[in-house]
Amino acid sequence: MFAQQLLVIAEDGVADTAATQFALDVGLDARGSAMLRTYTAARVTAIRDLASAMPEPDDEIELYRTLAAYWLELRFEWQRNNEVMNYQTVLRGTADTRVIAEGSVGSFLLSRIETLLDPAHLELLSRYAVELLANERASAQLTEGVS
Amino acid sequence: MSFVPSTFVTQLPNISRSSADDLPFGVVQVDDAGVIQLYNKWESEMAAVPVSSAEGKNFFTQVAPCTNNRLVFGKFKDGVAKGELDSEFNYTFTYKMKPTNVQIRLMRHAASKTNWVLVGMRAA
Repeated sequence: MFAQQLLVIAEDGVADTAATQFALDVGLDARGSAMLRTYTAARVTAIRDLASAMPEPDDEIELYRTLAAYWLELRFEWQRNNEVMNYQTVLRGTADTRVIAEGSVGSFLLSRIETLLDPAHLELLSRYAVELLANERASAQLTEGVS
Repeated sequence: MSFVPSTFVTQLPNISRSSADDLPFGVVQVDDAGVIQLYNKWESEMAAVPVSSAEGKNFFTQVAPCTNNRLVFGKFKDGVAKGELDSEFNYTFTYKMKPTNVQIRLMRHAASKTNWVLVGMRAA
């Protein structure tokens, strides 16, 4: 049942349509658009692989947990793209359109996955993602202070 | 030239919710930790976050996590610590929305000790 729901959100056409639109939004050329669609397809395939690997009702808890892990993976990937595009925007005035488009795809896929996650779990995951990076920053500052 | 009219700046901190809702740019009032006190209609519609869901949450870490970095939240915290903040810069939003080029202005109204995050659209 959960695996079936996951297959629905990993439906190729929806993500591909979104990627095509994001490519248009940021002004990617045909080659850039094709690369973005490939980037998107790889992540959709990763979601589908989860559903295919754990299709049995007995696997649902493990599947849910693994999907939550993939949400975190995508969230950190989106975070990296967000940092790159905005440092580029602030420091040189414009951001690489490829990075903006990949960030948009990441955000789109996060939203799709979130429809299958319990809101309370999602809030915990979001807080974990924020705290992990905040702690990492604090740790880095401490290291800078010591060296 | 700023997207924020000087008439708006002179009205701070006395901005009612209804007058904030009439403005053609995002108005977010936050406390010193970044918790949202006021979230106007424009910002709510642009971010697709209902006002009731946003107010009471941390703007930088919960509502607009794309701003949870040194460029925005770091600048905000530095400004609050110094007691003065007025900075405007270009930014790009992608979180839960299509790619959106914006300008952000971070302001602290020293006399009232209130903080404001203002967001306007910009051409790519």
